[in-house]
Amino acid sequence: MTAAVDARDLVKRYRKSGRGIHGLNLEIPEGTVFGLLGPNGAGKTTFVKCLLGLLTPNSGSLSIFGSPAGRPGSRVGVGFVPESPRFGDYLSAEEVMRIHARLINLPRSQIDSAVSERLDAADLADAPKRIKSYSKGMVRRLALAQGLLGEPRMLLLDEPTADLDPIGRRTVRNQIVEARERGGTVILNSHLLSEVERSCDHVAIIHKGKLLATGTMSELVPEGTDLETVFVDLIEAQS
Amino acid sequence: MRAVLTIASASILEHRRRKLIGFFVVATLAIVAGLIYLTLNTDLGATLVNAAVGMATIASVGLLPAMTVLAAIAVSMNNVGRPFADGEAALILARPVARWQFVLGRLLGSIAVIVGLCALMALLATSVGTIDQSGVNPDVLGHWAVTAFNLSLLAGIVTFMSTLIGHPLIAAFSGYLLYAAATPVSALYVLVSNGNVTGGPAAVITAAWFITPKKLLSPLSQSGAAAESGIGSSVADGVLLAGNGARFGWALAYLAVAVTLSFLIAERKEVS
Repeated sequence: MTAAVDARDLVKRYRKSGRGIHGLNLEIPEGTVFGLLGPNGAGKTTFVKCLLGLLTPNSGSLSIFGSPAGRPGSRVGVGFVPESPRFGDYLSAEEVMRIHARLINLPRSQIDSAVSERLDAADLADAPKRIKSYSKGMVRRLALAQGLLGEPRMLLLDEPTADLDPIGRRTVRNQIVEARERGGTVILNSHLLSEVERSCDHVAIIHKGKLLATGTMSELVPEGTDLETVFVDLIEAQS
Repeated sequence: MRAVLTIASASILEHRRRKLIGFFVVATLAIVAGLIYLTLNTDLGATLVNAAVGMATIASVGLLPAMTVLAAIAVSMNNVGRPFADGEAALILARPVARWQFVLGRLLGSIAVIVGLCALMALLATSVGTIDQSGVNPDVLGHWAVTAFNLSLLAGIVTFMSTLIGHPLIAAFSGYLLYAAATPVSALYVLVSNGNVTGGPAAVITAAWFITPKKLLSPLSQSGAAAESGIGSSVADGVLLAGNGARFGWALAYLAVAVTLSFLIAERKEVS
């Protein structure tokens, strides 16, 4: 199986806090739904931002489908849903979707149908004109809709269910299932263990910028126990 | 190219919907409407002699260029620093878009708005001339074309500052300071050229002269300079370059350096 993501000795240090990633080695197989777990400040979001080239690692190597992370070409076919999505509040949901459709080079003939299909799926087809009047949940759904535009080969979800009601959470889960069925790779960055347990087939647990454990869900969580117990035991063993 | 144009058109949309630009347009239209009213209903020459109305008219006309400068700063001060800091750029840069494409798209969006505003000013000046039946003064149209170019240079400098500093107000202030410094620095440089200042101070002034932008001279200020003798307004405007041809080359080179530096800094900048 090809590696969708390959990180070798990855280091990203924040000067002020000293936090970040400290020598992370991680391989994410293609076609999996991969849960990235860790307490707050573990380095999960930093890892995702390094993958997208939003942050530059201090050392080590990081690649997406064999292409060095950080180059624009490595982000072709990658959808991203950030933890705190921020859109220009002067735009409408449809305008955001059209901008992203053009940025991913979607053919003009497909833009209309792809945008309306995604807006319908996110229940935003009749959303008010300007994003500034949207609720947090609506902004999250819009973020998910833009992330799924063009059926990405890899979908990066950073705490995607925060601020969502149970129906919104189910929508996210359904979208993950849909992406997996298409053969896409999904990286789910979360500290909601129940979400990860439900959706993921592979898991990595990160703490203080280092990898504590990784494997398939069945390898990591022995029968008779649950992910929460494994997670807490691993973290406490480090403290 | 598609990414640059997409970002530029989104930037134009942003400026169109920000109330600030609407304010500039409405205020300009109000001033021009007042001038048209005075032109049609009074003998403008006599009106200008009348102290109160005359002062108000001159002040209003003086506000137009000041407003275009403010507008140019307003549309470029948030080009890079703010979207990088508040995360708005993250979703765009998570696409197959290079940092330089983002910076160039934002700058082109600002320049398009500036050119649009100057075109509006030129149109209004033309309408006043037509209503007044004094005809269209080609120098006035030339003035707004030159203003559009100079303000695009200002937008480039403020965008560079926005990339370097981040905070929009500090970027706006320092960018304008650099742009406006051309006038006093050029006046000082005359002293160096004449040999009145030598040594260390001369070196500092010469360095300052090289890092301040050289703006194009408007046809209106050129005719004003021609009427003066010795050190005319052309000196105060940024000087010691032969004419607009040399200034144009210098300004373009300056803009190219500012934009290239913006690309290089943006490349290393972290996105929230």
